[in-house]
Amino acid sequence: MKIWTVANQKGGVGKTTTVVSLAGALVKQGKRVLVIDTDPHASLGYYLGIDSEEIPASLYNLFVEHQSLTESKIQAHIVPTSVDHLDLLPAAMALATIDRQLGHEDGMGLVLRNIIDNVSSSYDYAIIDCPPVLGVLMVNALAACEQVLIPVQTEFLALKGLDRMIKTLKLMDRTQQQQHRFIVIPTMFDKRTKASPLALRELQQSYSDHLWNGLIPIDTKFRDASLAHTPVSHCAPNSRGSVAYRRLLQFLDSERGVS
Amino acid sequence: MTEHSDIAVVDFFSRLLKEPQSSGPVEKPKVLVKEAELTLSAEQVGLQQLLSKVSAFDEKDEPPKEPSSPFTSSKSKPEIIVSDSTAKETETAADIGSEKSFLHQRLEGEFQALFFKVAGLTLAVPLVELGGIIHEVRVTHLPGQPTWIKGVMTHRDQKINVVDTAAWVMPEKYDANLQKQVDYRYVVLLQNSQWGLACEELLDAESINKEQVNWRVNTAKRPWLAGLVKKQMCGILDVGALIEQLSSQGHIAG
Ligand SMILES: Nc1ncnc2c1ncn2[C@@H]1O[C@H](COP(=O)(O)OP(=O)(O)O)[C@@H](O)[C@H]1O
Ligand SMILES: [Mg+2]
Repeated sequence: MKIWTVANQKGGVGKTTTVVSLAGALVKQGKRVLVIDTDPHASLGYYLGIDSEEIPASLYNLFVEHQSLTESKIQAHIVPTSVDHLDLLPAAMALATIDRQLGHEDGMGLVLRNIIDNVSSSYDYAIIDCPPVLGVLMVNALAACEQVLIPVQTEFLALKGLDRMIKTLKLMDRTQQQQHRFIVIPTMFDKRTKASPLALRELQQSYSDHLWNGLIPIDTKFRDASLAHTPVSHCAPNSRGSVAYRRLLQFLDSERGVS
Repeated sequence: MTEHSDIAVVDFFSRLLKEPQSSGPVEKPKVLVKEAELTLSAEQVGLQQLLSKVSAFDEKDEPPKEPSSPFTSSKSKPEIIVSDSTAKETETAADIGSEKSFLHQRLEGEFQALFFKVAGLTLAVPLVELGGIIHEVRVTHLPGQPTWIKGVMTHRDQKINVVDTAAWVMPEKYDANLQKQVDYRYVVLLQNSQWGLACEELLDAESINKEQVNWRVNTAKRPWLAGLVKKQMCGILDVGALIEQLSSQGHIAG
């Protein structure tokens, strides 16, 4: 199983959209995909048409019961979505209390890794959506994956948030004696603006080693897709945005992306 | 980020990412000891002590009984870096400091708060004073309790007194009619006390700045109401004062 985490300590950069769009492209290839929402705002579930406050259990319950997790218990918390072969481990508002409740316990950053381990035979891919704050949940998401995808909105001051995110990863690697692979993904690129090409050039100058050489264009189809609660690959398969995520997937699954 | 806050972040990661210990000889956490030498903050002394705690993952098959306080567990005592008495002193000092303080004195400039709803009323509670959330309200009503206690329920082996929040917050408006309408679905736990507030809806956790709150100056009448969050126009709870008041009026040790 491949495990990817989509993270950026900045909100509104396209994290959730990236999770859903990659998942959509993967299931179209016949892969079994689990998406995991670690953001208390539960916008991933909302995108997929699942109201987190209406479902009886969520990732929160698994964290609370982290000492007694079994495969069947975890499976019971995973919900199917309206998209074939795409399942969701949903978030809930209560996740916002995890730092306060469990943040002082040793090993609390490894709960999600343990959860995914338990269901790894059921899926080909797990893609994790992150909250925009550095806390127990983001640490869990980062500790569970080998590859981190960092969407960066190509706009004025985009690099500020990116620097912070990469610093977080480096500090974590120092602690864990692990090396995260990370890929920077330029998003919401709008060539008609001044800011987008400028931000892209800045990314190329500062992060060329980690920069995906494609880009995700700004595309209103993403909004349509989220309103329809489906991945863009399913409601507008030939849109520019959908094609761009398909290319990104090709890259991630290629030699360089996996490396 | 400064060098100092880097150390704090690394320390946070070290604790969260502490791998389960194998059944072989116990290794000392070398890196962590080094980090501790760099800093002397009381919090980090506490973290060092926590490192002696046997990780939850060790005994997956037989969940250990949760110790009442993480500090009391001492299966394998680590080398103590700072003497016990120092640690105790810091603790006592902190206790005294927080005992009668006002909420706005305890909070950082920017803090996270959870907003929840009861009978059309929105209330906020700072996350640092929140003990957790229970996703059901299944109480046993005991005779002789005040009307504002909905009942008791057991949560993680602890008895929780669940407050009928609408009845407590607006006794003057709370009649049989309103009582019928209120549909409690969650319990918001107050710190590590035996008290929880029943609520209908969890709204959002948001970052707010101290300046975005109208802090009440005279809190004699309702000590649990620390102020008003201006943007949401909702009350913010002083959890410490609330527990104290609930305990004294409910005749139960909080
Ligand atoms: N490439 C894009 N083009 C146009 N709109 C986008 C694009 N990517 C994301 N969006 C929109 O931007 C908003 C924020 O995206 P989202 O994925 O929720 O960000 P995050 O998860 O980082 O907060 C959403 O309304 C989404 O529909
Ligand atoms: Mg999101």
